[in-house]
Amino acid sequence: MSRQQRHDARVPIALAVLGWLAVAFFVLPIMALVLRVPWSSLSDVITDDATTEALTLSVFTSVITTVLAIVLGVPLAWLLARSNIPGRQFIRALCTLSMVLPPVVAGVALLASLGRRGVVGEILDDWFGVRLPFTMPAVVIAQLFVAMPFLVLTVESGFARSAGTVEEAARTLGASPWYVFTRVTLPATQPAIVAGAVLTWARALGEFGATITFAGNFPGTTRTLPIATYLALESDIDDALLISMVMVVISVVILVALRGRWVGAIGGMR
Amino acid sequence: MRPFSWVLLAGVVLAGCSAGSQSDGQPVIFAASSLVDVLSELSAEEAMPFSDVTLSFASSASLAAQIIDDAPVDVFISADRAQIERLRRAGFSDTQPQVVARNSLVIAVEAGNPLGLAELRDLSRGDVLVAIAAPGVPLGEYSQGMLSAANIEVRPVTFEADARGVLAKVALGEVDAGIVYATDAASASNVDRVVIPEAEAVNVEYVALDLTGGSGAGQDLIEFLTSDTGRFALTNRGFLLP
Repeated sequence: MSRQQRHDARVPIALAVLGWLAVAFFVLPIMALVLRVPWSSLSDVITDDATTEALTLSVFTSVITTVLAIVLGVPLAWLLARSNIPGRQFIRALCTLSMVLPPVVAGVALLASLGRRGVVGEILDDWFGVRLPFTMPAVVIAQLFVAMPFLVLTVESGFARSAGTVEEAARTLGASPWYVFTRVTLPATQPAIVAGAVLTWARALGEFGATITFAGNFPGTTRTLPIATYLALESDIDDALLISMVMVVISVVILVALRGRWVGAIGGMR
Repeated sequence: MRPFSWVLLAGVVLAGCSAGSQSDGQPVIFAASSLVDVLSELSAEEAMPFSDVTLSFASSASLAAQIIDDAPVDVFISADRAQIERLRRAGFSDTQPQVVARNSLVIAVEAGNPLGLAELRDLSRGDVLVAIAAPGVPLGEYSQGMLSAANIEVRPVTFEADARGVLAKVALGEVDAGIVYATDAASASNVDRVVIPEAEAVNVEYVALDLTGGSGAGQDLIEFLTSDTGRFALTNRGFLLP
């Protein structure tokens, strides 16, 4: 259906020019990166223990973040899209604020709340002996804080679009609210959830500022690939470029693979 | 908007790009981030030989990388010689580098020093959470060098990306101690310092390189930093003189 529409559409020339300008804007830096990377030492860097350790940690934490974002973010999106809670606009703004905060500030906010001297963190430490900063869970929390809004906003607009007669019909036929949600609403929103999850995962994978502020940097526990890249920039730019290429390749492979299967929704839900 | 207007708009945007280049006589200093307070103060007091100086602070290594990539800079002040050597290897070698200030290392602890840390060896205690700067960053190299020379093994909970990162972790109470530059510890209000004799063997030098090829502005700025006014401001902030 969508192919047919694209084929028939006549694109105004001004739009086409600007559109291709945007393509160049995105492709040029990546191409330049590819050209500048010293590919001959690729095998040294990707088989390096420090790199594989950071890569494993990044993949592991970003996947957990994505799962948690779905578990928490879908209900939040539902609240924002469907419920009549007062101050909904304000709550939405609060819950997506971390998208626009400089990530380092997001990290400081997490320390102020969940750090050793934080509002909640102090209680966690005193009562349960739990200290979050400098641990792997802290990496996930930092990623979740800055990346979940991408899922919330995408899924919320999915819920808003799918609202309608089918749910109404299910309800009149006697279905419970939970049954309607799981059997009617969720399937209709699935493309938006997948799209939001992919955006969240991508943002989590690249997360740097909040992570280094809240979780610090220790090999194996909190040194993710972006942090390893940043630190490599200090000592060896070639290594940094190679490590970043690893990230680019992984992201492209996953985005392309998913897009082919499910993520038509990112381009606009139909 | 009509297509023609779009083209016009694009033209205006492109024309705007070239207006920002720095041939308007405003000198640019790239400096190691530990110099941020003293240089900003001098600039704000209009004490510098130029009414308006553009200051840019970051880790010395990333500044050096920007310079190699042709950032328009008049003076570069690095926190270690390694970055200056890197620039000279890349062909920035028409002038001699000059040491303008020195610094020292201290242990930064929470205000009041609740754990009673007194010497470098205390950092290896099991109950002390320690932050140090990452290897590869000048401060990290200095810190590790000092610890190895003293034969003390410390297991930090985090390797921070720069000096301010270490200090922030101490100031926020997330770690009990961190090795920082003496000047950084002095600038933070809720942090106390523990002076350590091992630091005397560490020679932290700020090396300035004139990148104008002797055209005047760069040399004037370096001379200013080594003048009485410059030296006074530096010592006032806890820096040592060359």
